[in-house]
Amino acid sequence: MKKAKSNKLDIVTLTVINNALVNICREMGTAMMRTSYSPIFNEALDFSCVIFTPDGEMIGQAEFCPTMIGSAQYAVKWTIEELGLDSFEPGDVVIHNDPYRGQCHMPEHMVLKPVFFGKKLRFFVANIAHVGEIGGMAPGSFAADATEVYQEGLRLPPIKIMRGGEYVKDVWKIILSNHRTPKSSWGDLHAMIGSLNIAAERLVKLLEDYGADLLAEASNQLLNYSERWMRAEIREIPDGTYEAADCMEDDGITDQPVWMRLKLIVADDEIIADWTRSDPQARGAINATFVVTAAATYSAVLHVTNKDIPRNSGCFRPIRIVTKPGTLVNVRHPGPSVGGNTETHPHIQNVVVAALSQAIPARTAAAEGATACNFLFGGLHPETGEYYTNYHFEGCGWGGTATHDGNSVMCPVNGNCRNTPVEVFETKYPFLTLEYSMRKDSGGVGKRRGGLGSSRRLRVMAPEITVSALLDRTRTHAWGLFGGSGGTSAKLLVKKKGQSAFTTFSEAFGTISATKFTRVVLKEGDEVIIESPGGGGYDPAGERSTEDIEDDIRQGYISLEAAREHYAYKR
Amino acid sequence: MRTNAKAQPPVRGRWVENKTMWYEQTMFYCDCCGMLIPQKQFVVEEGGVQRLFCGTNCAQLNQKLKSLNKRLFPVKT
Repeated sequence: MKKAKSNKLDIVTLTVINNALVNICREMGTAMMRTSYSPIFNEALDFSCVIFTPDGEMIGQAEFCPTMIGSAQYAVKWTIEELGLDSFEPGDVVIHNDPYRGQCHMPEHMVLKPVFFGKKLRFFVANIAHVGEIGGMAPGSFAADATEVYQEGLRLPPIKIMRGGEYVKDVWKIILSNHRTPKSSWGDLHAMIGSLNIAAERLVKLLEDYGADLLAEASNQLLNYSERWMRAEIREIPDGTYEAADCMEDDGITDQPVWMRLKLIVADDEIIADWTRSDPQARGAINATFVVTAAATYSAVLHVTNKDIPRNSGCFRPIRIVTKPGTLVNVRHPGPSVGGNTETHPHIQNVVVAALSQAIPARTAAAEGATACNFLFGGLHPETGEYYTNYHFEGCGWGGTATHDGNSVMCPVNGNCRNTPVEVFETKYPFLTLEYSMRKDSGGVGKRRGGLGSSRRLRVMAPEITVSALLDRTRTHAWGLFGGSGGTSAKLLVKKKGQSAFTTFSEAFGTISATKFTRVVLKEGDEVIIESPGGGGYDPAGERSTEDIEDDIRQGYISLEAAREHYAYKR
Repeated sequence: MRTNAKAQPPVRGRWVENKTMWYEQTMFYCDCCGMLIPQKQFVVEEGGVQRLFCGTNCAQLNQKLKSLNKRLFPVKT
């Protein structure tokens, strides 16, 4: 057992311990990916694995979803405070998804396990995962036209689902009775718990190697190290007040935009993100919880600061969030919020970056598509007769930067998820994919072009499929920076069998919103087109090199006509 | 929570435990950040009005923002 000779640990030991914690989180993720039932986990990787100290400070995370990583500390701290540290015993697992108790939105479930060593609680390990079906109004549990949290699914405060290593069967029965696909939930929850067990084993080994006291001291020093580094980064940003704003184009209930407004104050070594001038909360499900706003703000600051800062609670300490309850960025009970984590979060993040672009332009990016084009569906599978649901999402174009074009067809900035391959998609669900491509000319023009969005065309291959959708950026677009232009907007279109032209869902089915609705029934032969938006361009198009323009044409990213019109390409 | 922040002037207040029964959920929001407060509130008397905060950090931030001439909207519960 290695023991510290003094309180201050050397940087090598700290780095080794930090890397060990990160690798434990990575291993949790691999286990989750390989053992989960649903494609949202084993293909899309829509989960995050984290390690905490007993007082709820995050000290380990890996390359997972920024939204969950930023928000996990709130959910864990709430759990510890509500249940009490003394209530945890070896073999316990707590589950929690309540957006009014520190969580992001209803589908995000956290499972949390205490790690004991020497009869004392030394760590918590957690897996936060987007469970694709949790009951509520819509198959896939994305009730885009919900008006209160009670319609969004089964809401679980922090409760034990395992006690001393044994199932708390009553809780499992309640959960599985309220999810439309209980087999998937059963398998996925076990995958989540399995990842916790692996983490616990690895942490016990680490405790055996280093000793509990040294690891506790290392945790403390890593947190402070991250905090010092982040403060040093913030000191490099010119002091001042920077403002930016963006809107969600509607909320699924009323056809009115809802605005988020930021006053970002940089004061020496702290950033204060004042969101208090944002619009009152929406009736529909686009509201963000406080923790979503916090996570988005943190993530935006991480984007513009040194990527080597260890990502733990320490690096968030100098970033202060100020909101007003009852606004778009801090929903008050019982407002709905399922879309806030997925759709509003990337907008919030883009706004922070837009504000910072006034201070540190070279480190910022133009806006990204900021919508996952959420498309949910469910029904009885014609071949198996079993009920299925799926939460499907798309990548979008990211904004150009001072040095690079934006990434194309990437998960919006709040997630770090992969797409589901068409082969897997068609194996599991009764859809035929007629097209899946990058959208030519969808990226904003600029010296550094915005990334491209995608286009997907699906045909229904079952007698009926019930679909829901929640997307944005169909009437707005990702903005450009410093002379770059905005990206193209998103589209969601439908064509009933026998019709010749695609229309919006509002025109075809009378939904209030063309992009935020639940429970539309499609029939066999109906088709859907989902087009995700492009990212904004950076710097004037006239500065783009001929070589880059010709490469874009060759790759099919831009058309010859667009090259001539927007880039004055003359060949 | 230990922090490397520059020392802020202390704020005088007291910790108050949320006395809600386990089967109820009343919601208290921090008067600075707006976050829901789980169990314990840091209460500060300000001009005869009680302000609730999620911790001493927010109580100090509340003071700091005033000195930066930023208005906060106190939460009406």
